[in-house]
Amino acid sequence: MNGDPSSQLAFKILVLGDSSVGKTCLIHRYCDDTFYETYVSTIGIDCKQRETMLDQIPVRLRIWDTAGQERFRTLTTAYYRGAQGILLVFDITNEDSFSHLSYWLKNIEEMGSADICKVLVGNKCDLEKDRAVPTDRATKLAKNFGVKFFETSCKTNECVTAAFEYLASMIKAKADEKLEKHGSLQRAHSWHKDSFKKQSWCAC
Amino acid sequence: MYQEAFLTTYRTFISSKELIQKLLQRYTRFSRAKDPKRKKLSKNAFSLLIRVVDELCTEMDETLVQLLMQLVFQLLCDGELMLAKIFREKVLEKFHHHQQRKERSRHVKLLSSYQLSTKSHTLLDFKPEQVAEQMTLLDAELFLTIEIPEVLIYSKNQSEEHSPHLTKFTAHFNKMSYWCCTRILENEDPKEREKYYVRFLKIMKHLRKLSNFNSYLAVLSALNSSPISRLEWQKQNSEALQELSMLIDSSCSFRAYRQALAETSPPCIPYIGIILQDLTFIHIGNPDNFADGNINFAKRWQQFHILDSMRRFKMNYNFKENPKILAMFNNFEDYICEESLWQISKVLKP
Repeated sequence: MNGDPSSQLAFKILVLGDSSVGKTCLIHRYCDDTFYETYVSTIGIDCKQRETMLDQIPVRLRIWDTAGQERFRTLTTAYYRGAQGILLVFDITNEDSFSHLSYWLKNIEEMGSADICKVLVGNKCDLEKDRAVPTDRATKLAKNFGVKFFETSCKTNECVTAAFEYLASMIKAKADEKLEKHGSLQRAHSWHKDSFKKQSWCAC
Repeated sequence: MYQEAFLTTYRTFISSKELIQKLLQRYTRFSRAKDPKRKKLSKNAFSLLIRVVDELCTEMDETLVQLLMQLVFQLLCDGELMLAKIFREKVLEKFHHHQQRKERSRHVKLLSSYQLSTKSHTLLDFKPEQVAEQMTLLDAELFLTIEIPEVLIYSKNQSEEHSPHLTKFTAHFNKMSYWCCTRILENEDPKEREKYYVRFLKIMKHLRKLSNFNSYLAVLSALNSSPISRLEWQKQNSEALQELSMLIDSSCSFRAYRQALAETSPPCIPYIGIILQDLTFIHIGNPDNFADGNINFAKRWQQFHILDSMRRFKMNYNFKENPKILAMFNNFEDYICEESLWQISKVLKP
């Protein structure tokens, strides 16, 4: 970890969606390191991280992956704790993963905090010939739920960064909004600290 | 050891049928050679073939039996009467064993529907220890049916069809969880709810002693689920739950849980979600083949290590079935769906 962690903004992002939609691939792509390659279960890392700049401020994104555990419905809810953003993923070649989004959205509504930021992602857009979910259907759904929609591909890297960083900027905007409500710059610093405290159980 | 790793993971790059065909080919090719070195190759192919047949699971069907019978015929022609006899018996035994298992799972279903009619007890009628034991019996029965290759295949393509026992096992986990939520929320009186809550806490302690991490987590996730956790609970009870939750704290890649598991000796029922997650990460992070087309065996070696630790725990628990408790469980079929659980929770505490 670089610099003084207590002065750095950190956001917790959860990547959700049915199994085999490519969640781990997306994270792998975005964080672009060899963590999984050398993955050893005892390594003690529980989420992937990437640092990015938002409005000239460095922000650390902590990205949590529930891969492999989707089937244990009741257990994945534990991951929602403290999450500020959700990247909800479906597979554009898999109709079921799209129709299941309503389940996920409902779940998020119930488990996540009220002001959690969401982005909808249709993954595997390089497989145009196998497409089962037309773009406009997904756009419409996203509009209904008031979230932004991205089509991504882990293969070509299309829009992967854009999706994650749009979500991060949303979280940042929401955080700034809260700050403004508090009104005083003096409290800005303590807010940063608070947000870190909330995150401190994440032993990344 | 390398052979074990191969037998556990070969399905990620070749189907059992293809492998058997190739081994048959190799056997045939060298079996009639004069050169003793070549003769030895055919012997090696034969012994590997036996191991492959031994480890076959759901793939054992009529076409495979026919294929293997060709070898029996050939062995007879070569005058290897003893080998032919042993091999034939092995194939048939394996085939019948698999058929029997299919029959058996049907039988279990019949039994549970019979139990429905005799249902009369509630959870509070039984000692937590006994309940935990019976939960463990049900878990163990399903856990032991899971074939190691299914788990590997699932981490690759998440196919329910190719991982039938694993799918059943995870469905059982979820049902058990909803069942626990239901037993608590169906009581209008908060004191009654608290009683059930406390009972589940006690059951969890016994599940921990039995090293049944699967049921432990199913109950834990029920008590931690939003419809339950948003209600008011006595401080000492919610604190007790927090303490029990430490085991599955996700920080440091579930260090607490992994440590507990490492210190456990079989029989044990692990939480399969972590195994699936580890396998998923290994699968995504490592290519199946190298640029030159060679198979990436280092990846298979990692997969084998995770699967082997799972195999280690497969062992029977020696508890007697308690028909009354099993009838009360009714296979955890009597539960309210997630959405209704929420509605009830909101009625109880608007």
